[in-house]
Amino acid sequence: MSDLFSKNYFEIFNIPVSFDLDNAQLSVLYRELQKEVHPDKFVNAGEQQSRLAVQVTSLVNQAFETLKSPVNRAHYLLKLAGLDIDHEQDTTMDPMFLMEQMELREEIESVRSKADPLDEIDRLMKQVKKMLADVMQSYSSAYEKEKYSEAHEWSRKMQFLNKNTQELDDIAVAIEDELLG
Amino acid sequence: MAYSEKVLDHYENPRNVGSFDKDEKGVGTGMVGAPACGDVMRLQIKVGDDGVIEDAVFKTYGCGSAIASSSLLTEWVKGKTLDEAKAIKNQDIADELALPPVKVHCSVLAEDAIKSAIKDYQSKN
Repeated sequence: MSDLFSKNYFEIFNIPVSFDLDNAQLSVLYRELQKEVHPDKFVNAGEQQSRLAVQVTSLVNQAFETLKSPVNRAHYLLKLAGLDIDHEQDTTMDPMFLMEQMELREEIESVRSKADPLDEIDRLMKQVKKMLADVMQSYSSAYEKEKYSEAHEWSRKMQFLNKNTQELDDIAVAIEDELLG
Repeated sequence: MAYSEKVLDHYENPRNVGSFDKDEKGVGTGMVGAPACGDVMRLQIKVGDDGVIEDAVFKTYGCGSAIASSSLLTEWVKGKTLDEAKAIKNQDIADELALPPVKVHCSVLAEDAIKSAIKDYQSKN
């Protein structure tokens, strides 16, 4: 069990180190592994073993949380490749992309003034998800070619688009709450 | 988190929100973004023949601190030469607005935006 500590998150689940990943499969592997290392199983195995089980469980949870989110997974892969992206302060980005973000944010902000706001959210969500899928594809192909700084640029775009989906979700929830009174 | 009074003031009454035609000769446009928080900032300056910034506008999608930082900066750069504007440090903004440490990156965004706007203007002139 303690050998998990020397493994990277992909190795913990015994899957290839790659951006492309089957989330359903990951969930299955996570649940299996979680059962295997669950602290309840080690209550009679002595204090040291049960303390270890707690640590391993938290490691497995962390690995799962990191891998299941595309943005976190993309960052983690770049960290494995040796890029220091935790302390990045770089705010310069592809101006076309930022322009697009500006327009998108403007549209998101004016959702509530539309005749059917939920319909508009739906439309924007589809648009953002399509962009996100394209960006993820580009990240994956740059990463596979070991073009890490290019991949990093795509991961930054992923972060923006991910925020857009969260924002749309938040507005949708707020509107639905209001409708339900 | 509690915002300082100055941040709230700029957030509730942002100065100089708007845009200039980016293709105009005397206009410099700076666009920056912070992936971690998803903030996007556009800051534009209009420079006179004497090299003095006549006017400045911004549009920021982001948190109150990011909006306040860019709003304050547009006020500060008006009437300054490009060199003077370039010398403004993010810490000056953070100090003026009493930004807490976790929000200092918003002032970095504003500093980068004015630098990028000046660079854009200089590349055109």
